[in-house]
Amino acid sequence: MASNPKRPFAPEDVYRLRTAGDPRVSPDGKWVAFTLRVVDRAENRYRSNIWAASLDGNNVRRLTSGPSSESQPRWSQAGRLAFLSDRGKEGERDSIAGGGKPQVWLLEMDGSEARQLTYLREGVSGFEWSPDGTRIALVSEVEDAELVGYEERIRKMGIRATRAPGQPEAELPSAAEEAQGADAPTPSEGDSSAQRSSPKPAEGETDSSEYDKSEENKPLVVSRLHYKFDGTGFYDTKRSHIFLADVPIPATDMEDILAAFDLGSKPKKKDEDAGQGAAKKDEKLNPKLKQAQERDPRDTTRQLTSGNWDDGELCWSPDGSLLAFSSSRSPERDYNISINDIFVVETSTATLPPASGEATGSFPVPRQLTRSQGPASAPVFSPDGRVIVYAGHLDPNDHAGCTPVRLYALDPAQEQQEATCLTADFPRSVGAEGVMATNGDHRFSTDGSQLYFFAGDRGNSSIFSVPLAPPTSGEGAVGATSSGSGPEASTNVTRLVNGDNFRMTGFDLLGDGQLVYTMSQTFIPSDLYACALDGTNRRRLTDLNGKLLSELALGTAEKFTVENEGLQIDGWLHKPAGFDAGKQYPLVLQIHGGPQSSFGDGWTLLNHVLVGREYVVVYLNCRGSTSYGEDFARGCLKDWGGGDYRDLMAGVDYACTLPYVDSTRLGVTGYSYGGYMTNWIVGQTTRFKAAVTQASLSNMMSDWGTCDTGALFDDMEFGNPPFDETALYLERSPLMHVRKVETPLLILHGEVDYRCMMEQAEQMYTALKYLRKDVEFVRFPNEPHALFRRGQPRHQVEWLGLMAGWFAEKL
Amino acid sequence: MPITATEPQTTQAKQQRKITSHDLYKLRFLRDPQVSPDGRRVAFVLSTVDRADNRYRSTIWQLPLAGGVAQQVTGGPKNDGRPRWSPDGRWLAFLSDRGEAGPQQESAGGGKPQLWLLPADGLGEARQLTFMRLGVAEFVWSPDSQCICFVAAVDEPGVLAEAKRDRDMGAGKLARTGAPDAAELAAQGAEKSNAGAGMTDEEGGSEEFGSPLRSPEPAHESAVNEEKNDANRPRVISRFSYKEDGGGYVGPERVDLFVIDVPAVSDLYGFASTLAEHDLATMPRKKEEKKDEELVKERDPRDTARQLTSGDYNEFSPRWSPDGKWLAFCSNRLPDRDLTPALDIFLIPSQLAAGGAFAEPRQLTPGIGPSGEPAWSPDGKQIAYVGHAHQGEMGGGFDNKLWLLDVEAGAASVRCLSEGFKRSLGHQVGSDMREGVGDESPIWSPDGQSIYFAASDRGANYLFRLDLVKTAPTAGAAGDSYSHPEAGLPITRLSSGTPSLLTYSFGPGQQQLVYAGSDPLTPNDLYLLNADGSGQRRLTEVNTPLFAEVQLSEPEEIVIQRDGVTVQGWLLKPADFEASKQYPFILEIHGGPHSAYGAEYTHEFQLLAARGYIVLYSNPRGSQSYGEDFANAIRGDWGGVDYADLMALVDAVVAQGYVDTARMGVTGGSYGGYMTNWIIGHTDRFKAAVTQRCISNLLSFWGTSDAGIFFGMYELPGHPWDDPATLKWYLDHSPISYLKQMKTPTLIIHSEQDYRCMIEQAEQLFAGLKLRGVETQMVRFPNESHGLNRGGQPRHRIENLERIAGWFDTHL
Repeated sequence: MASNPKRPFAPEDVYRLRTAGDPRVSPDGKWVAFTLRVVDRAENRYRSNIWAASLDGNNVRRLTSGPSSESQPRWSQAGRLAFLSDRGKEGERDSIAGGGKPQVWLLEMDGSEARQLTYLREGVSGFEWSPDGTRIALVSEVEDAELVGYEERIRKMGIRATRAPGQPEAELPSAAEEAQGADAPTPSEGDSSAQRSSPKPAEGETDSSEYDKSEENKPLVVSRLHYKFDGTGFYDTKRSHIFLADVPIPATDMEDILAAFDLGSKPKKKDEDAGQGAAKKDEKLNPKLKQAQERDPRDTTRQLTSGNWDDGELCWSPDGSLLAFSSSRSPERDYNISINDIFVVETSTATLPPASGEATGSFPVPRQLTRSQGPASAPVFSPDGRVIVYAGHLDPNDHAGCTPVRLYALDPAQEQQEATCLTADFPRSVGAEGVMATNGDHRFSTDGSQLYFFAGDRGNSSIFSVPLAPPTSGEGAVGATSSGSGPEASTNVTRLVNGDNFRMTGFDLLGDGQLVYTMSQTFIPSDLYACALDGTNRRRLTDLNGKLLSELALGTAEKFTVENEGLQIDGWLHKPAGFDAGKQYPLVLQIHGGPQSSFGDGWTLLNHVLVGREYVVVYLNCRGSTSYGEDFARGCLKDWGGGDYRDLMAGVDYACTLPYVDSTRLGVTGYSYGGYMTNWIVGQTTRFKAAVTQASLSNMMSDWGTCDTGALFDDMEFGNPPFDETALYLERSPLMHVRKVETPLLILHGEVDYRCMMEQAEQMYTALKYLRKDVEFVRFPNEPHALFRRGQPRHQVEWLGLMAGWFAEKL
Repeated sequence: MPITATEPQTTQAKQQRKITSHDLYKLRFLRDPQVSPDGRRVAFVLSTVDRADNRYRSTIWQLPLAGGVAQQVTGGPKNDGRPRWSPDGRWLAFLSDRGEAGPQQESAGGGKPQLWLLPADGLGEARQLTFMRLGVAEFVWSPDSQCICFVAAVDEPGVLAEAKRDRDMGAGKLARTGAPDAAELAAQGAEKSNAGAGMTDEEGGSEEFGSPLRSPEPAHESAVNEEKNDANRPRVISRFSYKEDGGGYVGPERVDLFVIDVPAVSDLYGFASTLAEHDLATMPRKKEEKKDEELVKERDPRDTARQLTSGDYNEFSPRWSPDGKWLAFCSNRLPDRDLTPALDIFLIPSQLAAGGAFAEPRQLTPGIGPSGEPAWSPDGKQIAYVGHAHQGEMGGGFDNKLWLLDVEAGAASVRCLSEGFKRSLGHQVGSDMREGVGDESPIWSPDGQSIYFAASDRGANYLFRLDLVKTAPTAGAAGDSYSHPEAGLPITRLSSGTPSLLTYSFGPGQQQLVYAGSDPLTPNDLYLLNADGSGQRRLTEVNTPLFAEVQLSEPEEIVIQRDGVTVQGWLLKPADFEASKQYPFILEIHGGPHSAYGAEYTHEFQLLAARGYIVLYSNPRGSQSYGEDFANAIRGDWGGVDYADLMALVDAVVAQGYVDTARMGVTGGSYGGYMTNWIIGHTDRFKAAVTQRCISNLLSFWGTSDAGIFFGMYELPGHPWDDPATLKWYLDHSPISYLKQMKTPTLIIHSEQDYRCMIEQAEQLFAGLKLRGVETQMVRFPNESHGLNRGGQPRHRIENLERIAGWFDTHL
């Protein structure tokens, strides 16, 4: 094999890419547990398992295996490893126990196999160990009574409306009648009396939900502004709430183990005796709620919060008495998805309703610490328990992610307080980037005096520290920061690890000494690294894709900067392997999504596919990109297709001056907003000879009302809804410029893309095809906007192949 | 038996209740009467709701015309339809999907509609004649009863190759552009040790439709081929027309003409031959993965049909010449057919040439507009047909006329016979009881002196006769002359309009005809009529058992004069109406816009009247059956004169004094949904609105509807990006532009698979109303297309009705 010449990257290499995430250092500092995501090609899906790497870099172990998917490795103080796994048995019988859904499992790290800790019907989406390791707090979904009732009322509005005087209730079939109808023998030929003799529909307990036994065939009644979400589909009536579970001490007693087994193997009781006492009382209870309240006998968790909202992002106070979490409980939450708050709740289970049976207890009332001023997430307790630090900002109308996410300190005992901003003059956004992402990774130092966090800067990630003491300048200093000043302009934030050539995806600390993080680089899809806090002693703990990379020749990349209209625009050129400066190469412009996101020195799949086909790829952080400060990120607001477009063209102009770029063979592509920009570009210039627009936008007018978050996002990007800003929405809609298009265009779009709806692609295709332009259209069934994160691997391979193939044919 | 030939009973007898949405389950839908050649029987189709399975079921019945009880001819749980007697009276042919389904039967079209033959003498069960993989759509007997011409979809090799090329796009290019060894190297590097499992050779590789997507594993496991589920494969689209409401995505299949011999009764029912056939049917079929191309070729061994046409066209309405030598048919064969809806009449020999080559069809019509429904003259020298001279327009705004051409002379001889007849041929009046009507071809009299045709006038459908003998022109009532002003060809209206006439079938010698007809209180029943229009007699009462129980509301006509035209509407009042009281009111608006309401039973209207509402349905400008000037008055003026007509009608009703003006509602579907949205943006007089399958934003409608561009071309003043004035028109005429004026609580009902008015139209309106704080709700029906209210799943139709009525109940 070693003698084989290296080959370029090809789309089907997607099947072999491995990605690490969620690193967690064990209490003894010997191991880093992390998730490893691989493609299960036979099943055409992604799957992840828990692995561990030794901090000395000498050892990597697989901890879990099998066809299931695992995530969220979390160590207890005593070194027990809990994680989520969907390995539980599936099937109707196991649905009460949440079989096949993620549950918490516990690995003792003593050689025994993992044991299942939770049996929640809807599975577990997140959890944290209590500091003493005796309990876990977890997040699971429950049917929300208020929401179910509301939906039921809404549903019935049409069906069980008040009648005109003297009118009987609408005759809808009862469930019993429907069932009878289904079981009734087929009427014999010609016996048309069968219908007449069918019993009169029973009055009373009937509503539309009983019409149809197939959930998928029931009409969906929508009454809230936000009713769908890309990748998730239509919202249901479940809400995420916090639960507490006791963790058994490491099992040494055989009886304990067998007792748990006994519970699991007990025959499930049918409805009639599932809580006989409650049965009568529950007669009027909605069947959906009734069913949802049925719990597996092994499920001993206590529900801590309830209500028509979603609670999550848990953090225990050091003494275990409080849980901090974030939740969007504002009455405006249906209209403003960017407002949420930090809460704390007592963890005493004394007054909680018992796990099953009659609901006699009551839920404790959480204290709201923040003032509904904007996004607030990821609360962290200081080691002494006296401070909570969270990430967020104070602009409730920023639905795009322009405003820098900052760190704020709170007093856990004080309700609705003015939070103290710790990073007021730090001109970057804390945490991972992305539209509407506010989830910052930040940790306290052991003594509680410092906070460590990571942030993006000029396309890459660095790790910073900030003292807990409030800054002297205060929030007012924010306005003074300009996009021209980098992180060093901050008076109190210190850059620890200068990551000017990687993009971080997660990190963890070991005391105050060691830092571990997962990251990617231009030529490394993903790996786990460790270093000292000052950035020294940096070492790679894994070589996840070593075998694949050893076969590949991935080319080279270089960074450049162009000046346009007084702005410094960062760009990169990625050249094919075997690059020959004496030759001329076709050039493809790659445009990122968002627009509030960025490129950097990270792994970019789309680029590798193109470079693998002998294109030089140029990619830029035009106006609107994040990690260059707030002004820069806001640079495209109310100006899509303006300054951003000119920045990109300046980058292309520069690339065309390079001797090795064949400026007569230019291509352009982009995803999401990058697809918008691709559509825009082909309507503005004929310099590109081929274009591939991916998950794109073409008509901002209809995007506003069809995108899952359009009514808020477009308001932010375009300043107003379309009925107040019609001219701008129209002028900046690529559809309005289709007559000028000369570039052959391939349109790639997912059919269940609820972010940029399929109708956007249809309009672009219809117009171009009607005008007899060179255009093709590929619709990917069952794929959301986030195809490359959540999509089927096979579709990804095909998508990439089509993209590259279009350039091969047209360029 | 509910189906009787006895005199109708009066429906007053016993205690009556009000009609409910659920009575839809009990309704019976009758269609497609066919009189036997000997004139003694009429066959027809009866559909009922299979409530348990939530679908419809149709069977064929026959009724002796001399009097007696109707008899069910076909049975079983499937759908039988389109009964057609052979001219010699020996057979009753029909379509049925009763054939066994399943993978083994796939190539034989199991479970799809196939042609079946039933001996008219009643001896023996029906036998299956065709085994078309994709089923049979339409068929006609040859004049000598020896064979049947049918149309059926087959995978068209040319289109299939194009589709394959499209799927290959981005695929086969890999090899051309360097990195030729990528896949091979990947194979070597594959983690899975598969030493020796080489890549396919180049040729084999190109057979895979995704060769660039080639996986490191052997070809049969390549990325694309791994996908067993067709529904999960990317759809590569390079044609303009790629989806159709109700039909989904357009595949590689095209509809062609076929001819099949009808065996002698002894052959089909004899001992030896049927056993041989049994052998054929039980032969093991190869079932290993077949390539698409093979599937095209693969035909069931029992399939003996001869294909007469081919190519990337759809053929339909085949008509035999009287001597059986020729077939006339309709097709759009324009090079630009994807973008230009058109229809011409073509001619081909009914026999395949020696060697089996396809004959090149001869185009008979001049290509000046849609030309359909050809009808041969008895001497075989002429063809009458229906159409108009506005090429590319299929929206129904122009009047369809009756044309005549000389078969020999072809296009040069075409002349219009009905120039002075200011109505459109065909059935223009709609209801929620049916989708379409079936065959509508004109019929020649046996002496070749007259042509019968159906047409709509002022909200009802009638039978007319045009005499080819020239007479002096005569003016009809209200200036609507039925005659050709120059040619002086007289046109006579034969049926009375009560009931409104749908499909009809003549008996021997054309002395009598049987037709299916409906009036506002009666869904379709059969009626007998003498050819001169006299002696009408009702033959069936299929819904009498239900209607004897319920009270219906009888419509009252209301007309207003505006701009020199008469606008017609009808009022339904609650059964216990008292003029001294005040009632809540609902305005119902039809779709199209070029269709009409009128003289047919409509369940939704009766339901609302039963719930205590006064219901107004009407034909404002834009409606059909009043002539093309009336219909085209709204071209480029949606929301203008149509809106004004509707409001004037409402004013006229309000002036009667019995409408509670604080309790008025409005609803409509499709264009009626557009108008509902328009109305709530222009007046607050309505306190509740239900907008069904609506258009809210014409700008995005243009690019997402399966018919969007055709609206742009002919209904609206152009395409949105043509010029600023056109764009402004689109904005000015989109209801969404008036969002800020909307205050009316609005229920939005939309089907998720509506490809005519895509659900994005509903979503935009919903988001807008919601954000503006207007009370609204959106109900999305899964697995339904644009035709939910007339052809949807029975349960969905009932819920749809309940939601419409319920919204008004709670908001008025």
